[in-house]
Amino acid sequence: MNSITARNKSEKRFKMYGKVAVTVAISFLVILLYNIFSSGISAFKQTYVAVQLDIPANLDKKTLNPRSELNKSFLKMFPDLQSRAEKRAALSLLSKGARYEFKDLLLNNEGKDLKGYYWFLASSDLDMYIKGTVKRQGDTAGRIDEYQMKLIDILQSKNLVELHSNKYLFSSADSREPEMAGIKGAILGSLYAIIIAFLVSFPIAVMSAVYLEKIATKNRFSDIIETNINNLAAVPSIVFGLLGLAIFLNFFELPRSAPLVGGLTLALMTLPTIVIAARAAIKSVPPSIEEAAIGLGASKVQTIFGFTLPLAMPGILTGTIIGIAQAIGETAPLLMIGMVAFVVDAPGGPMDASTALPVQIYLWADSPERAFTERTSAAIMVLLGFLILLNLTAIYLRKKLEKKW
Amino acid sequence: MSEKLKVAIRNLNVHYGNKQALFDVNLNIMEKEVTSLIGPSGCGKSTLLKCINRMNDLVEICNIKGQILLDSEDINDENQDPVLLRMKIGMVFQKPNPFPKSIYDNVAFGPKLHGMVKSKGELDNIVVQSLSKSGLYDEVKDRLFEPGTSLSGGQQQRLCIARALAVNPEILLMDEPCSALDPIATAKIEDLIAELKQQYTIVIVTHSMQQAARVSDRTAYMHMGELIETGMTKSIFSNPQHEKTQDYITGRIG
Amino acid sequence: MTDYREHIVKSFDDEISNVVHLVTQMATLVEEQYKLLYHVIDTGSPATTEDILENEPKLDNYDAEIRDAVITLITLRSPVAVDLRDVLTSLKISTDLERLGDYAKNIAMRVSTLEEIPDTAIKNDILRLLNLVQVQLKKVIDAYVSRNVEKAKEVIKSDIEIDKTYDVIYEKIVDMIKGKVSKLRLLTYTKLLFAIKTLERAGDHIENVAEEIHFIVTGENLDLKSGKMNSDTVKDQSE
Repeated sequence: MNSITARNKSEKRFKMYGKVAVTVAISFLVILLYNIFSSGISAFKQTYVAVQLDIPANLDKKTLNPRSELNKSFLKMFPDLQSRAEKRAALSLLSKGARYEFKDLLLNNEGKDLKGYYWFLASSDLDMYIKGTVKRQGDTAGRIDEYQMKLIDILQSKNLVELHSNKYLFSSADSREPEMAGIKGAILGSLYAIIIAFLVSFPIAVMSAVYLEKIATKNRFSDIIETNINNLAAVPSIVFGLLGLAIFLNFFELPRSAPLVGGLTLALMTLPTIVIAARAAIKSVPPSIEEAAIGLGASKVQTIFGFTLPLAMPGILTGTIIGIAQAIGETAPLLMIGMVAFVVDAPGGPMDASTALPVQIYLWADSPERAFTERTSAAIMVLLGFLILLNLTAIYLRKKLEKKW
Repeated sequence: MSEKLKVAIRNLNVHYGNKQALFDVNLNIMEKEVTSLIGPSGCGKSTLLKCINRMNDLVEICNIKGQILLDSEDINDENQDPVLLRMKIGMVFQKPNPFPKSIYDNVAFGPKLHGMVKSKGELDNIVVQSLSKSGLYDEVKDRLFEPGTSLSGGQQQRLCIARALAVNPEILLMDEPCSALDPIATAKIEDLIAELKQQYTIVIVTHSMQQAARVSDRTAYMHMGELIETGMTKSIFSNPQHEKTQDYITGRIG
Repeated sequence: MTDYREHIVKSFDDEISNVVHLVTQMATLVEEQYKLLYHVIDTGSPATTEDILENEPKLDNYDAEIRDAVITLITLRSPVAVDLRDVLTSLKISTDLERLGDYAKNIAMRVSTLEEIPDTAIKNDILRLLNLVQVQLKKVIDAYVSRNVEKAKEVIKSDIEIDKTYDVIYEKIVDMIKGKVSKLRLLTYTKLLFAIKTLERAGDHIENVAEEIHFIVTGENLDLKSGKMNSDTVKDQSE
């Protein structure tokens, strides 16, 4: 009896350890997600200031200087301002990007009067205060001095300061001004790189797996190859970056920082992962089906492409998507081949210089400006979103393809 | 039953790497008869069966010496095409292994693969005929496009038989076809074999001596890679010549 | 059985041994019946005849038991080759033994109700014939138990002795009948004729058993001897 109660106790204890472990893991996850979420969510909104405009339709656009015109309109809202310093302080509440917005506004409203309040992008300092990231202390808040604070209070009392959805986040590339910085360039760069990586690595990896599993004779040499492939999957990614640097940039002289090079480097990195997954999937196809096909007179190649590969596809796809998801988040190899440069424009094609999402996160995280903090978290959220999407696709594909078999 | 020699196996020695699996086997398979291969586990009956349609080619370390003559032609000759050979010799395996396709596609696979038909109508004909020959047509005629794996074990095995018959073989090799089936499904297949032997030469490997006694015309007993005795089934089971044969069939081999 | 290895399934061996044992026991009882018969012919004792009658049902029991055991064995074990021959012929042998037992009973009943006591000479002749049958019976039982084909063949060859002895006694009795005899004496000798005929038949059945033993061991039928066939037919015609 003693041993049974002792055994029950130890089983209960073991279960408890398991529960504790899972709880700890989940809480770490929750803390991480909460941190990211809570600091990143604010990046999806941006502060706008309403400026009263009074611009007749027939104003000559060619002679118009958008910046001075806008400044004029803004300063008109604060007639009490005297000194130049005061005026500059007031103007610094607007973002440098406001002038471009004004320009767009003029272009879109040709032949129309612009009378009334129109929203323009506020500076990142104002934005940080409005969002509450920078707290008010007496009459100042961070970089906002007392004077600006007074103006802000006025604007706020008149409801002329509001948070709108941040359209810059997804529509513009990186910028020195945080309020104008977006991840479009990074997303496009990553997208191009990943697509190229997939298009290059998938066929090569699958064919290699087919060859190694089905066609090559099993001897010492093939064993060596197998060991090496397994080892390649464990090579630190920065080594692949060096490889990409040496081969693609130095030897082939492809354009630096181009997603093409990034894609090729990532392809090298994901090749072993896909080969290993594909080999496992091919191995798991029951030989009885292949025997049946061969017994009916199918050749080896017909059997492989007619039966083995289709049946192995769920496993291969799952492995591929996992490999791709890994590659999306890789920073080190992209740093080595130069996708770290500060690039203002989103890339037009895979040959244009670009940055990538994880690199963008790295750059922003490095920046001292407070405003970039929330944007870094927002970018991380986007990256995580992609990864979750990819993983869900993997799960869905696997379920769907498994049903058929 | 004719007395025509269909397959002649002469001095067959088979090695897997260093291990010898068949020792100097000589066997005659007569046309349109059922020949059964019996013997304890590891005696080489499956190996022998697989030599006939060159399935052993798939095994790299397998080394075959000797002659296997199909209608007096050596099947292992360099000029012989294994694909054509496997059209003449069909195989049914121990565990039913229908393709993950519809019933129709399973049977149609062979004829399509070898370009045996020119029109859909011809293909339909072959499918219906093959399924009828294997006694499955009535049970599946309303659901030809459901997956082959949705059938019961016995039906799946008959589907595999139909699939093999669709390419119009001369010989049917069966490797323990009933060992995964229940007694009723087994009986249906044994009945099928009795019918099929009027048209095809059948070689069956079986662990069940009673099955060998029930279905075959000739029986060959193998032991540790050697062919010990072969003869008409009735004689082998009522009065075998070799002590080893008698020991096996009466359950005395330990 | 002794020559063959054991079955992997030991209970199979046990069941075959059981059948053989039953047949052997039945044969031993038959031997006993013929021993009692000897005493009846020698002394005409009614008590001994009673003994023989009492044993009859036991022989029927054995016959039924053997039949059941064989059917069970065939149903459950699906015997083939030597095992099948073993049990099927054991079944046939038990039928032969049952006949033999019957014959002993019939002769005993006839002899114990003879109208007159026969001649000592004839009685001794008949006892001699009975002895030959007893010797054959013992030999055939030995042959069965030890599966000895040679012994079986001896039994088959020796049957001719019984036939010849029967012929001699037959002639003697017929001679006696041909002479002037009383009705009672005639009846007695006629009954004796039936008795010796039955003994000769007994010899034939024992020869059958010997043939069956040969079949169990070799799986082959023995050729019927053409000479034996003729002598049988002649006897039947003259009776």
